[in-house]
Amino acid sequence: MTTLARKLRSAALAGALCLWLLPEGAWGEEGWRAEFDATCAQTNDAMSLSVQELNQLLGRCAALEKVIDTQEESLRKVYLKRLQLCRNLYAYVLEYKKNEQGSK
Amino acid sequence: MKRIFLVCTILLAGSSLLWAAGGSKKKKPLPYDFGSVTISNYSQQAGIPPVVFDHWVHRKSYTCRVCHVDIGFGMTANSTKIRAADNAKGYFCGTCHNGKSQLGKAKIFDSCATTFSREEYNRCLKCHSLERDPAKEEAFFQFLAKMPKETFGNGINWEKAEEIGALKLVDQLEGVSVKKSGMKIQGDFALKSKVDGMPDIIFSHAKHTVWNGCELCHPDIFVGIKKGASKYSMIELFDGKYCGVCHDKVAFPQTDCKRCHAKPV
Repeated sequence: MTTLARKLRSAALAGALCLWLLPEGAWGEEGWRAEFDATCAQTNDAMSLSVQELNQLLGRCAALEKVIDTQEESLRKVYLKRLQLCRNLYAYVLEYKKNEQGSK
Repeated sequence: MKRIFLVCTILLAGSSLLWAAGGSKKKKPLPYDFGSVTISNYSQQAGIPPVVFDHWVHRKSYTCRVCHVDIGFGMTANSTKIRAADNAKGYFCGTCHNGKSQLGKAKIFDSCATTFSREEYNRCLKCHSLERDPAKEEAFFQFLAKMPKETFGNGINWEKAEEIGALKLVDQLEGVSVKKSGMKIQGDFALKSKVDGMPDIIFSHAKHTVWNGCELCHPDIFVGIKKGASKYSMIELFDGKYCGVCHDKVAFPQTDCKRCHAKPV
């Protein structure tokens, strides 16, 4: 691997780590709700999403979970349950699509 | 002759199951009690009776999805662990029962407060009561009189009621529900019956997706996407799994065989 490729890889990893660690700051107090709505708005079309789109949505769900975990108890209980429903559906459709691809 | 034999086999299997389960027969609920859920997580610790939740009262106005997906109520009794504080903050029951929300022109009564006076205690008793309420029963029978009839459950054919426009269900709550694109209409399909002589099942996927969305059933209740991927038996269904999560408890009971085993022979 060349030095440039190594540097690019490190930068990409650092970027991903920042995105993973900083969702709270990035979304603000109410911003995460808009992100929740946008992320879970596609459950009706889950079967028409690509593997890449489903993976992205699952990444957004994982980031949201971290923010919701820091909220007060009642809100946390409601939104973790709601997030679980949409995340599980995406994960389930993703698994189905991967199996489909694998069997072709 | 074959049919008589089949019926006898089913009855014998049913009674054997009851015997195996300890010999006690479940009491058939009265029409207005069918679908009622007693919620008793914290009430008794707080010195008030548990909540008896009437599904029919809510089902006549809202889709299952609104409460079980958008508000976050679990699918089994007492799984949600609702506290008065949650309701008072506007979650769970308090999402609608906040003294401000309306259903049509009617204001929906306020739910719990974390502290309450002696006068306010009567408000608590609207839900926290194990006593029979003749006014509620009367309200049920008045509602029933306007609905298409069904032999089992609470005597209402809910599916037909919606089809003929006797019910118009709310599926979105402003400020709570996620705005989604329209759902592709799912085709109904047939499932092969395991017993000879028993008609195949016609599964109304379209109706179920409108009422429940996708995420309420998949993957928590049904793991397979491909038709036939989830293998299940009537024993599991009567045990409260798969279709039995709703049917028998809230949706029409599974003893109403012909509602599902409906494919013409």
